[in-house]
Amino acid sequence: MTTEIHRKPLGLGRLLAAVYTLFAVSAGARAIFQIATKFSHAPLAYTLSAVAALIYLLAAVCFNWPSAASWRTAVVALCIEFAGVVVVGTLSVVNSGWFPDASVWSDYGIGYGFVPVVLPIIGLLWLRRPETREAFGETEAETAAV
Amino acid sequence: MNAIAALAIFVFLMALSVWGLMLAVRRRPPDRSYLAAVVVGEVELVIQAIVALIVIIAGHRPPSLAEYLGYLFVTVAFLPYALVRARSPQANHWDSSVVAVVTFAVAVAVLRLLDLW
Repeated sequence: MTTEIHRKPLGLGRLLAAVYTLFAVSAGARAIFQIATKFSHAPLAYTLSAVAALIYLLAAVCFNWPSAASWRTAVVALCIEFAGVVVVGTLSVVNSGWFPDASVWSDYGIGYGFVPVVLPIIGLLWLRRPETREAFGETEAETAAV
Repeated sequence: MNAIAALAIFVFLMALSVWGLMLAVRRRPPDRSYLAAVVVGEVELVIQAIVALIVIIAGHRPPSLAEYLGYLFVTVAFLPYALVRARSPQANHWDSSVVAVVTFAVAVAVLRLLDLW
């Protein structure tokens, strides 16, 4: 069983790794394009696009290369991601003037079929499963505080 | 851009996505015939990209050239990524879902290309 468990990545993790890689590439390309061509038009929205892209990239790296450190990094990255979607989503609904041009997270990711708000929830639920922790080499004893 | 050709590629990619989803639901890894069909899809996308680049070099300017080229890159780069993963000996039914998601994303990108041309 041990060899079975340490095969990488596992189950739903394979899908998460692929989806986060896609989001890292597309959000990154979009952020570079926006910042390079029209940064002054909406500095806040475009800075957030870049931050979102970096978080997706970090999570993609963690899901593609499982280790105890990447498990912990992924948990932090997904928490920031979820907070980002909720805060930016709420602010963009309350006052759309703050975000004149859409970012990945505005309106809770409506431009991406709400995938941005669902993704971190699925990801965190998957990460906290004991099988997932074990596969990442993350033991219960080490994470008692988490 | 020839709208009918682009729409045909879109429909083909959506069919690939549904096929991948059916494999995933039946808990089957991507099989040889499915992978061959995905390769055909990638060939269509590469031809589309080459034709688009030739027309752009010849003088056509999409309103937002940088954005257009970004989406063009997405349409040719994503399927090989999914194929490499799906061909690994460890591939399981989750890789069928990966290919389904990627072909869907590329299908949407093809529509964006048509929009931005």
